[in-house]
Amino acid sequence: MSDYLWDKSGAPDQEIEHLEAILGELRYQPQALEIPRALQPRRHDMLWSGLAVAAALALVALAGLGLRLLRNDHETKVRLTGGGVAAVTPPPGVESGSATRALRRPDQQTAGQAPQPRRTLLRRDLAAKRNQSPVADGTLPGMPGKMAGTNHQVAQLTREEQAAKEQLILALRLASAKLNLAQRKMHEKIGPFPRS
Amino acid sequence: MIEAEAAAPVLMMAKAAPRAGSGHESGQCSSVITLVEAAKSGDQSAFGRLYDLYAPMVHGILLARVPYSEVSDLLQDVFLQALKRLGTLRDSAAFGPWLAMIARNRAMDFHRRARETEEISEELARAGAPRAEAAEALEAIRALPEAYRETLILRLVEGMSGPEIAARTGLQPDSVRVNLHRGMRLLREKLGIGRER
Repeated sequence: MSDYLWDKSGAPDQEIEHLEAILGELRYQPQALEIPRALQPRRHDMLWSGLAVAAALALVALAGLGLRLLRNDHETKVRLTGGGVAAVTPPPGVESGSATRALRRPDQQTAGQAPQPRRTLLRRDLAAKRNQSPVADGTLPGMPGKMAGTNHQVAQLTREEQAAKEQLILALRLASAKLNLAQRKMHEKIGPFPRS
Repeated sequence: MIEAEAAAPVLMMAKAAPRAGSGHESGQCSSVITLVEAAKSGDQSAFGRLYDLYAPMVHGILLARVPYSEVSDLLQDVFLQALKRLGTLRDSAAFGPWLAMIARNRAMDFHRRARETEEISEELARAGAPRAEAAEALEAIRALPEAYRETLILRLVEGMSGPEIAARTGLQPDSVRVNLHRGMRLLREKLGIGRER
């Protein structure tokens, strides 16, 4: 077996050398590679694309978390209603958004009275309930004894959830603003996305 | 189809790639991985180094399949296709075999299209034809089975050693050795020169 043919070691094979000499003129001659501008990678655009994708993912994740928190908030409200606190429709002229929604006991509803923020009313309701409760340990009427103190825990949880919700809304707005900024910058650099 | 732009910038890769001996193959493999990773992240000079390293292999693969006059243009096409698809390459260590496959596919694609413009292709082939002796040897190699053809051209035309061919194309060294020797024996018979020693 000829080593020269395999790795050019050992005694050269004259026939192979002759073929190499003949065919050498066809050998690759180094030449420049021309890369069209369209194929040149643009790092800046790639960075912004990555940021846009990351912002979109964050937005989706936060939206999911927000939905979950809102659902928990709704469940809490239903539980409070069962304990003597009822959700009421705001009077005419008052915006019916979640921020201005009021919670009142039915016996406190008076016509023409200005609506108060929900958190304040809720706190008052709970404080009054604790003072007037026939059960000294703070159990709400109609609640089994095992759930002593639950009312306070629910109110605490609601406040925490409310704070989390506000933080979440702020985070969503921030993420949305960042996504818009990234999209605007991408459009400035490469123009609008081509439509196929 | 690659869209060429009139004012396309030119990457200078005119320096010949250093030919590695068998002792450098493992070190070269890791450096190839580094270069591929860099090229994937948009480093054009890294892609330029890959072009230097692999252009002879691609040239040989194309020369085994298409007319000599077409090889230069197709070589550029292959590297531009590779650049476009580099993001799809999962295993950076497999850059050589992946590139070789692009080159083989591009040669097949050339023949599919050439059927429609056969007369023009033949004229062009005649215009850029190599000298008679080289053309005769090249035709003899091209008449061999595909496995021998490619390996022999990489060895005899491009001047690559057996270990180097194996490292670049991803073929097993034993397969390359067998292909070289069997192919050389058939070539001697075709050209009517001597006997295997």
